[in-house]
Formats: sequence, structure tokens, C-alpha cells
Amino acid sequence: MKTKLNGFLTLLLAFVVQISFAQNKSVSGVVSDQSGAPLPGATVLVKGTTNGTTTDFDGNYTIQTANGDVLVFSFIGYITKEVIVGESANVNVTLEEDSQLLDEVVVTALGLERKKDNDISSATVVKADAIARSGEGGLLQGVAGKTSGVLITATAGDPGAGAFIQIRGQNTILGDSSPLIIVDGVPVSNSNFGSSTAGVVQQSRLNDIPASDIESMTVLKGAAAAAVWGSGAANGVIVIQTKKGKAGGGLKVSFSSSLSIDEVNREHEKQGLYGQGSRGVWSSNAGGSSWGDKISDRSGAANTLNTSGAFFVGDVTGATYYPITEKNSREVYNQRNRDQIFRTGISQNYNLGINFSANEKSSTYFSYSRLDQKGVINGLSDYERNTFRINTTNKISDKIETRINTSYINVKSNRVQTGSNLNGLYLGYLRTSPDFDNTDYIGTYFTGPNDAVGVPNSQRSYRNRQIGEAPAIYNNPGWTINEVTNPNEVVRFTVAPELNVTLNDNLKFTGRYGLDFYVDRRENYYPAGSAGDWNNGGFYKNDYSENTQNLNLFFNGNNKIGEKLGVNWVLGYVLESNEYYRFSSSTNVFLNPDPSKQIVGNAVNGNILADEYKSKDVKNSMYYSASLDLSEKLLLDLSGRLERNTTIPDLNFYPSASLGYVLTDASNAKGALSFLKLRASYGQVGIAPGLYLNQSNYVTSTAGSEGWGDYIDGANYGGSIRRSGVQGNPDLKVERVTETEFGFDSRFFDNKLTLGFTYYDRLTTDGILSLETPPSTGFSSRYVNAAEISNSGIEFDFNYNLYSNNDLKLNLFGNFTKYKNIVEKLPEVSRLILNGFSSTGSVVKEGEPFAAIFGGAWLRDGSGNIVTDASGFPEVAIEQQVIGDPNPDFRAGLGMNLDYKAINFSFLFETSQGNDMWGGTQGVLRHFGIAPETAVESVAPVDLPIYGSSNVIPAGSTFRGNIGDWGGGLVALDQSWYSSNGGGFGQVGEQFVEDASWIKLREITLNYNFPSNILDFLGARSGQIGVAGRNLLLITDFKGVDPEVNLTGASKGRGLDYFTNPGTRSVLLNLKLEF
Amino acid sequence: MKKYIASILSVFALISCEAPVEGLNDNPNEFTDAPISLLLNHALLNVASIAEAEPARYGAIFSDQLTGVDRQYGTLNLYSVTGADFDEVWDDLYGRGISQTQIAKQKAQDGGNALVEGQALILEGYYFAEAALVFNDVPYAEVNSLDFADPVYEEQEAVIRAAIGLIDQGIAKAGSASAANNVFATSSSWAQVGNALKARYLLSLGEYQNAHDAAVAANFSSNDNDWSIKHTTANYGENLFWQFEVEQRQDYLKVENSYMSRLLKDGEDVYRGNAKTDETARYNFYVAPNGLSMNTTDGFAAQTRNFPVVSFEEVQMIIAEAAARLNLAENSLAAINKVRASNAAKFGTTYDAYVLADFQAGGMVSHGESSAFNAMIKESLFEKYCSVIGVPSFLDVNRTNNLINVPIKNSNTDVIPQRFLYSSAEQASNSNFPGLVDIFVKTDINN
Repeated sequence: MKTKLNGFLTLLLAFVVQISFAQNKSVSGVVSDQSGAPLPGATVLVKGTTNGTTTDFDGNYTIQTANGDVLVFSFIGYITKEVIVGESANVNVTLEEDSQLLDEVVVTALGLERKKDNDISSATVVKADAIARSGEGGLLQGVAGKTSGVLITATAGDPGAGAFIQIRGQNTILGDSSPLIIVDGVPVSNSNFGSSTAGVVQQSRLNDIPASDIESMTVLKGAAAAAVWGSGAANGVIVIQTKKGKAGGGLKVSFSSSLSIDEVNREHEKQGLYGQGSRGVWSSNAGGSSWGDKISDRSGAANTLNTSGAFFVGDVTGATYYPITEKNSREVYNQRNRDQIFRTGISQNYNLGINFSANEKSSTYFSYSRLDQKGVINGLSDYERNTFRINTTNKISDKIETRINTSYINVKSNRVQTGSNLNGLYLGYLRTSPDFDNTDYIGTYFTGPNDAVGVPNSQRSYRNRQIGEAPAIYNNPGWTINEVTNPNEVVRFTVAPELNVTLNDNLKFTGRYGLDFYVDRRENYYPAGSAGDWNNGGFYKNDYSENTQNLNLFFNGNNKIGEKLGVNWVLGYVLESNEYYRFSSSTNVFLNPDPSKQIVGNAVNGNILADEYKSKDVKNSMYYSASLDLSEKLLLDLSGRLERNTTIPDLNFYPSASLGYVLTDASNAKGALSFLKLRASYGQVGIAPGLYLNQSNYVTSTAGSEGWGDYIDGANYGGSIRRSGVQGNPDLKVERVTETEFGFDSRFFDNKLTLGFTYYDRLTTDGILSLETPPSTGFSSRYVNAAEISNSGIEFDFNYNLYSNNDLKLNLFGNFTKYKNIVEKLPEVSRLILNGFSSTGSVVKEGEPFAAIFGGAWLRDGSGNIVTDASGFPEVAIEQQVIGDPNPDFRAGLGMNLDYKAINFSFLFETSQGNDMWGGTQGVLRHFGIAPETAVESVAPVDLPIYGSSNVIPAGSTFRGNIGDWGGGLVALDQSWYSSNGGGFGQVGEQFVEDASWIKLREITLNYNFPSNILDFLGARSGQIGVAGRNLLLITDFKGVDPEVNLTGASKGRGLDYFTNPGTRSVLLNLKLEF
Repeated sequence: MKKYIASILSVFALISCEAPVEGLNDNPNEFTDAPISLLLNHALLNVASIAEAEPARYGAIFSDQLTGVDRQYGTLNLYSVTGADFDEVWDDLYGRGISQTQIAKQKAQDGGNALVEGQALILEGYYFAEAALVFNDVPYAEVNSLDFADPVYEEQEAVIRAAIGLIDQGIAKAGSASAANNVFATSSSWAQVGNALKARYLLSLGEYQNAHDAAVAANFSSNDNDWSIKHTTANYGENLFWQFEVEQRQDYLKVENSYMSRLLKDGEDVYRGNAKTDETARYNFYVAPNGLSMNTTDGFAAQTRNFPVVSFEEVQMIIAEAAARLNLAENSLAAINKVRASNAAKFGTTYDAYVLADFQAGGMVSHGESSAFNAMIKESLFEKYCSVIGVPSFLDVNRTNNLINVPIKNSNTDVIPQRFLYSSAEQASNSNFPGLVDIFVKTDINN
């Protein structure tokens, strides 16, 4: 069969050749790069004719030509070379890399490189140097703003904080929202779990990879490009290639380091005019609020103390504290309390890369990277990451090549509690009254003058417990950052061996295996004396491990059918497996309160609990992809995947097709237009149902008000089990995401201006959701395939090389993203909370944008006016409503890069416009009388009704607060109002939702390349020193915190601020040397 | 070409195999069935969710036994609520209460275990009746059945009567067994507990004779008969009021200036003390020495204080009220004096026995009434109000049109909340949802 076909083709070719040209000579040779590696797929053309060929896998070519002809050798990313044919029948050519064009290669979902001009997906490439230049410790954060369609949001400024990453809109309610991450052809974990409204800011596992190891990053946004990964690819794919050594390159060493100085970029303001207390009277026992006396009205004398009884001796200053019976001091401690918790953060980053190649057949890349961050929070807030990588390639024979990529990662970190959490940093700090000094947060509590021993390690905090006499209600922030410890340690390694066998000139086999294993050990230790449940101490350990394995076997063929039709095809099999395991223990009510040892088991039996969770998810699939091109003008890609997985053992098929046409290229360029390619594609990807949704479970039970935290556990009552409220559904199907995409890639003005544009329209059907069922059915929810989520948008990228000569290069670049992400169908469901609080949360609701902010609202009449009660105060709508949309109207990035001789200067602005955010912190600070707008005085122009009271503030009198008018007459906005529905604990979240649009100077860099005399002195090939800034400028109307932070971290719940740890800005000093 | 075909075939051979994915979707982390004893124990445990947890706090705040002070509880104190505030209560009644009880009942029937079946029936009756009392019309016949995706709501009174019927069935099967178990401390039998609950529900229907008879049949002669949820020092074994105040939500909920505390506080205009009565110790039982907080050290909210779901005081005051309404003065007086004697022993202060003359016009407990019977009705209500914390007192205030003059804490209304709002979960998902009814609208049995 083979002989027949080959014979036929040869005959056909010979025929074509014979009638077309009068060549008289066969020339052959090898096309290779500077390192001697062959360049497969390079084009060889006889100049002035259409006679041409391409090189095979080993760079070999043969072409019919004549003496004196000019052969043109070209390969994407390399400088085209022309050679005149002489007497020799053998012409070997070495092509030099064209650094200007390095970005013109995209990497497909299977890890194969492809000319950007031939690519008909909407893939975009983020250049490695652009990521490295950012100076961000986290790889993800370093990509922010650099390409369209990708939304990357740091969750907080904590060291090692993860980032939320969203390609196009969101596609699923219950499934994973993270894109698939493929490193060197192998999927790796980017888990980020444990993000809720409390706890610590979690990490993203993708940030384990140091930016200095990255060779390239391709973002596959569309379904068509990702379809070969089937049910894993619904959220797009990020394809990362790490650096590899170059064969024959000898020894090359690169070293870079940076020093980053970080500080908080935005803080909440606190009033400093009124003291702790209520109704204008100072009190240390007034529900923690600062509605007390006017501080300036105090006598200014020393406070009157009760020195007859209990007292507290602080460990920090040694001062003795007695209960205050009369507050006379006018001292305000806002600044001191602020300085207690913040510092200047310092990060150091060192990267060492060694390329080593002893001969033409092997190469090794070794790297070591260390990142050491001390966070801006002045306590146990740090992150230390050590990474080793060894990538080796060996050519065993002409036909066989092996590659092994391995890495080892170790992360050690200390985190600080955040969010809605009595042990959270901001909760205790921001609520602290202005006239309370937090400095002595720890000390010894003595019951009276006769108590010689006292209780050491007692906590002193502003709310009711000013001498440590009782359990703390909120932690003193000093206690939160120094005594409560939240370390984690990650040990991770990846091993990815690959075998490439060249079967013949046109067929190659690749076998690839990937193992990505990590253990993440997390602890939370609350010493005795901590707030909330932990007055007697609590110690929680969670050990997570995740093992992602992948076996990928594929054939890759490259055939030419006739002269003009090229076919590049892949047929493969992939087996994917993910094993997850968590083991947790909790120890409550310590027997020995000594905080110097943290011991599981330091409690009586009933207070030591263990828990575990294990899961295994497997996918078994085959896939194909075929790229056809007709004269490199008309391009057609077809791909598909047939998949079985753990939750759906039946075969599912995910197809895709793309069509492209190159209207204009070098052959027919005219006028301003240098290149134009139109493209359209259709693709389907999916999201498999989650594990174990098929069964109803029986679970151990508790009773009480779990929502408030008070409940009894059946374990204390002989054991109890109930049927879970979640009804399993064994008939679930795959959630299917179908996408059509149109776009163009173009270049103008001699390729100086590059423009790319894509419009896409995707729809998730059969979206799985936990359908709220009437609890009277016995279940509170059941899983069904019922949701539809639409997602459409445009993406636009440009790059304009404005000017370029030997001394000066100037280019502008930018991107623009706009999307509409609507929950089209969510039958029978009022709303589903993705994350947040039931009072205000981020939800999905039919007809509303994905992740809409939902909560209490004012009651409105038919024409939309707020309805007021008899006193003139607004009434509360009985039903919660959508009160904000965290999705931006658009996002954009705009940057510039200037090279002038040895100087490089660049900047990047990024903006998000029209996104809403719930300022939960601000609302609660009003409740407590801390927000500056509550610390004003007003004069009642008329008798002003007081909220919830039949009394009024008489006309002419001065009161603390504001005057409100909702159309029902003027009313007093005083403590009664703010501590009820006018504040954050009232029923109305609507009033705290604000426009959180922002513009950021994401990065600005200035680098100087060492001149040759310095390089000679250093013995270096190249060197650079520079200074950079991250997020130095933030323009936003949102109050109190960087609107990029998110209470619920990198989870699907968006747009919530509630005592979330702050964001940061940084200045970096960089040094790079290559030897 | 053979190579091509071989490669294609090999790939198909691999994918055709189901083995790698088979059997992995069987959850290794959860059970899919459980023994009947643990299911019944859950049904018992869950009573705490209704009697001692959030509903009890709501009832106590609305009826001004306690005061909501801080954060959301400050808003609650002004009766400002939404349906979502009652989601947990509703789920505790239906999802975690009735449904689980029915699962246990079904298992007991299947296994011929009359003792468990009887207990499950009494608990089922309890959950249904409590649901109907606070929510008005509620689902009954169509609950917890795969045949009904949207259970219909049935009339309040019919559901309460059906619930009483379930309790009767339960008494028939398990009446002689002790009602003490892992969760509950009591000296009563299930028949006694069942009758005590029946008395509560019959009273709510205004069936005074039947209520009286059930209360007498309950035969609660001292606090030993109280059907009380046990509490210990174990973490999450403690009294829920204690947990709420000490561990979870300090200062949200206080006794500060509540009507109940003023009734018990010497010097207040509404102080209940008189020549025969000294309420000082009872005041201290509820109120901490700071005069504001709940007594969490040795009072009703102490860490290990058992919580009575139905108590000696409640049963006796049902007798006292029903007897007075039936013009059985001696019976009423006897019941009142039984509790007073018990109070004297419990609190160590004076609670001398009343005589009939004390209730007559101008007597020390005439409560401004000219009729001794009316005075006795009021006295029984006041005594119950000061003994029984939570929903039963909230229901009494509404059943009697606020006969004991509980202050209204929001000037925009002239009644306290009359009911709980339907759960937003039902509203969102049940096509037979009858519509939200305002919190100030009386339930049908009180109309």
C-alpha cells in the first residue's frame, strides 16, 4: 500500500515538475540553526519562481535547480538567507535567529510550535522577557495587563498570594474555573483551594514556577484551539514552555537578582475625633463602637483609674494598665496602631540559569531560583520559595531523542488571618477605637494587688477587655500578626520524560509522561487567649497532597499532497489522572496553654478530631488534529477528542474546526497593508461533572445554628447521622461549552504595526448546578444539568514599532478586552451564592451577569423611587436583589517600550472600567462610628426624626452625624441610623456597592545595559541594571482598599471587600548578568 | 501505510477500554446508609435546633424576654427581618427534622421496631406542630417524597391537628419507654413527654379542656420531668446560649432592659415581687452581675445548663391557664402554687403560696382585673413568660393578643411580630409557595 501510494505521488510530482520547469540539477543539504540543530519545516525556494520545498524532520531538503539560481532559505523566527547555486550539489545552510520575530511562534495545546501567521486560533503570546521584566514574584501577576482576554487579579498583597485568572468570561458554576495549565506539553496543577470569607490568603500553585524559567507563554483562549483537551479545557489553556539548553552551545551562565521594596498601596481612613463608647458617652463596654465622647471636649488630664483591683502588665512596653473609670486623656492612637501592623516589605529574588552542552547531541538547562519575601504586614507574613529545574535533551541516535524536564519546588510561608474573622488582621485593627492604644497586646493579667503570679500570655484588646480580664472579642491586631500563626510549606516536584522517535521522513512518534506531585502542609495555631472559639486555644493542621499524572502518546505526520496541499496531523492517546488527598486534625481547648510548643493532641480526647478526604479522577481519551494548508493561503484545522472519564464512563466527543485565509502576505502586499489573515473557528469543550455528585450521602450531624457558630455535635451525644440535604444525581451529563470565533491578524506599514482582533461567542449548555429544592422535599438541593451561561466579547491587541534604528527603538503596545458574561438560564433558582455572605454575596442569577453582587436593597415603588416610612427613612425591600456587577465594562492595557542605546525604558498601564465592588468594610466602619463620614457634626435645620425611635433631634441642636433626605423629609443619620440599616450590619448591602473602576500604572522600568568595558571587566557577555515600579499609581474612587483585592481570594465569587488584607505597590532594583 | 494503520488501531484499542475510569465515582469519603439508632439520635439532637438555637433567640427577642443589641441582632430587635433570616430554621424543621425523622420511622417500620417508630412519630409530630405554629400554613402530606417536587402548603390548624395525631400514635407505640437517652435528660416516659407537647399544641388551638387534660396526663410533678437537652463542658456539647454569648457572638444578645428582666427586677414599675414573692434570685438567674448580659456563669445560660424543651413550669401553667379559662379556680391555683413552691426551692427566695383572694379585685396579683379568673390567666402567663425562654412565650404573647403587655420595640408597629417569614429557599424553589406574608400578620389560629 505504502509503496503504491509513494510511487503514485512520485509519479505525480515528477509529472508536475517535468511540465513546469526545466531544472537540470538536484541540490540537497541540511538547514540548521546557529547551534547546529536541524530546522524541520524550513522553506527552500528558487528565487523568482514558485519552485520550492520544505525541510524534513532532520532539516534535509532536496530541490531541482540550475547553476546560478538563487536559493532562498527561510524559517519563521530566523533571518532569511539567499545562496547562489554553484557547482556543488550539496548546500548546507545555517540560519540566524531573528530576535525581532521571536514572538511569531505560538505553541499549540499539544506543545508543538507553530508559525503565528499560520495559526488560525485566537492564541496570543506573552513574551518571556515581558513577564520577567515585571519583577513580580508571582508568575501569574506578572502577566497581568499584557494580553487581551485574560483577566488576572491578585487576591491581596500578602506574600505569595495567589491570583484569580479568567480567560474570557466564566463558564461554569460548579466546575473548576481555572484554565488548564500545560508546561512543556504536560498538564500541571494550578489548584487554589480553601478561599472563603475568612482564614488566610491562599497561594496559586502556578506561581511555583519562577518567571526566569519561562521560555514562552501562549494563551489559547478559544475552544477550537483547546478542544484536544476535551473536558479539561473549558476555561482556556495556558501553554508554558520552560527554557531548554541549546545543543553545542557550550557553557552559558545567567544570573539575575532583584530587590523589591513594598508598601501598602491604599488604606482605610479612620476618624480620630470621637472616643470609644456609645451615644456620646465614653465607655469601654459599648459593643466595640466609637460613638463615644468628643475627644477634644475632654479635660486633657490623666485618665482616672481604678487601681484597687485587677490590672495588666504589658510585655511590649512594660506598662501597667488599670481599668479607666474616667477618660480624660485627649490622646489619639490611630497612627501608632497603624504603625503596629504595617512595615515596609522587602523581597529578594535570585535566579541562576546554566546552559550546558558538551556536544551536538545533548544539552542541559539547570536553574536555581530563590524568592524571599517579607510582607508589608509587620508580623508573621513572609514567603520563601526555592526552585530547582533541570531540563536535559539527548539525541541517542538520528532517530531517537529523549528529553527529561524535572523541577523541585519548596515553598515556606507565614500568612496572616484576613476577612470576616474575629482573628483577622483588619477586623481587629480597623474597628479599634481611636483612643485605645493597641501597643501592649500581650502581657500578664493580675486579678488584684495580692495576685503575685498572674496569668501570663494574656491578651489585651480594645473591646471590653482592656486589661485582659476576659476572653477577647476581637484580637488585638498585634496578637493576630505575632501570636496567631498560619504557616504552610509546600514540597513539589515535577518529572516529565519525553521520547521522540522519527519513524520516517514524515512520521514521528512522541511518548510523554508527566508527574506533578506536591504536599501542602497548612497550619493555623490560635494560642490560648485568642478571640472567638479559641480563648482556650486551637490548633488546626491540614495536609494536602495532589498527584497529577499524564501519559500522552501521539503520532505526528507531515505530508504534502501534491505540491500545494500540506497536511500536518497528530493522532494520539492520553491518560490523565488526578489524585487528591487531605488529612486534617483539630485540637481545641489546650490542656497546656504554653504557646512555645504546638502539639496536636494537647487536649482531652473529645477535643481532638481528625478528618480526611480523598478522590481520584481519571480521563481516558484519544484525539486527533489536522492542519491543512493550500499554498499556505487557505488554512483548515480540524481536531477532535473522544473521552471517557470517571464521572461519565460513556464516550463524549469534542470537535473543532477552524478556517483561515491569508488575503495578503509578502507575495501580494500592497499599500499600507503588509499582511492580512481572516479566521473563523468553531469548537466544543466541556466540563465533566464533579466527583461523587451521583450519590446522596449520610453524614455525621450537628444541631443548632451553624450559621452563627453555636451548635452541638452529635459526637458528644453518642453519635448521630443524617441523610445529607444534597440529593445525588446519577444521570448527570457533561457541561458543554460551544464557541464560534471570528477574527483577523494583520500587519501594516512594512510589518511595523501588528493588529489582532477576535470576536467570540460561547455558550455553556447543560451547566451543572446545585438546584435549590424546597427543603420540604427533604433535600435542600440537587444536582442537575440546567444552567446556560453565555459569554461573548471582543479582544484586540496591537503592537506598533514606531521607530527603529541602531540607536533608538520605540514601540507601543496594548490590548483591549470587553466581554458580556450572562447567566441565561438558571431555572427554578432565585440565586446561587458562589461565595461571600448570604447577606451580601457573589451569585449567579438568571438573566444577570455571572458573579453578580446580590444583597439587601431599599424598597422602591413602581417608578423606581425609594419608599420611605412615616419618619422619612428608607424602607427595606423584603427580597434581596442584584445590587452590583463585578464584571468590568472593559479592561485594557497600554504600554510603551523605548530602547535608546544602552537604556531601556518601559511602562504599562492597565485599567478596568465599570466593575462594581461591595465595600463591606466601609459599611461596618460606619456601624462602629469609625468611618470619617460618621465623625462630623450637623445642625438640625428642623426637628429631625431618629431612626427606630419616636424621638427627634430638635431643630437648632448640633448632633454627631449627617442629615439624610430620601424624599420623605429630612432625617438624622446618627448612631441610631448607622448602627442599624445605615451601616454594614443592617439589611441593605446596596448602599455600599460602589463603582470600583481603576487605572493602574502596572509597571514602569528603567534599565541600563552595561557597555563592553564593564562587561569585559566583569567577564560577562551581557549585563543590565535597572529599577522598576509595580502598581506605583492607582486611580480609583473606591474607598479604603485596592479594588483588585477580593475577600474570597481566587474563587469564583468576585467583587467583595470585607476586612480583606490590603494590596501593595513596589519599587524594585534589578541586576542581570550573562556569562 | 501499515504504520499509519497500526498507529490508528493502537489508539482506538486504548480508548475502547473502560477499565481506567470504572468504579472510581463511588465516594470513598461518605456513607450511603446508616443504622437506625444513629438516625434516630439525629432526630433527637436536631430538637436543639428548634427549641434552643436561633428560633428560641428570635422568639425571646420578639417577646422581649431578651434584647438584641449588637450588629444583626440590633436590627432584629427592631423586628427588621427578611426571608433569608429564616432559611436555617426552615431547613432545620424540614430538611434536618421531619425528613430525617421519617427516614428513621420508615426504617423502624421496615424492621418492625415499634419502640423506635413510636419515638420517631412523637418527634415528627413535634417538628410539624412547631413548624405550623410559627409559619402558619406549611407543607405536610407531600413532604420528603420523590413524588412531590413542590410540596403543597396545608392549613395551619389541620397540620397542628395532624401533628397531635402523630404524637398520639407515637405514645401508643413507645409511651411506656423512658424519654431519657443520649440527648435528653428526664425522668419522664415518652407518654409523659408526648402529652406535655400535646398540651402545648392543644392550648394553641384554644382547646382548653383538652389542653388541660393532656397537661394533667403529662403528670410533670417537678423539674425532674423536664424534657431537657443535656449539656456538658465538651466542645460543642455546651449550652447554646452560652456558646452564642461566650464563644461566638459576645454582646449580640443581652437581657439588658428586657421586659422579662424588668418584671423580675426589684424597683422596676412592672416588678412582679409582692409580699409573698421575691424575684431577686430569679433575676440573677437570668442576668449577669453587670446587669446587662445573660448569666453565663451559673444562670440559665451557664455552660452546662441543660435546656428544657418542655418543662414542669410550662405544663403546670398550661393547667393553670386552661383551668382558669374553664372556671376551675382551685385547679388553677394549685398549679400556680406548685410552681411557686418549686421556685422557692430552686431560687431560695420567698414564693409563698397564693390564696384565691390574692387574685380577686384589689388582691396582690389581681393584675388590674376585676375577675379572679382573668387574674389567674394573666398570672399563669406571666409566670410562664418568666420561666420558659423562647418560642412558647412568643406564641403565648400572640395567642393572647399580648395580654401581659409586652412592649413594642419599634414605633412603626403596634404589635410584635406574629410569625416567622417563610424561608427564601422555599420561595425560590417551590412552585406551590403560597406567597410571602408580612411578619406582623396574625397566624390563622390567632385570628
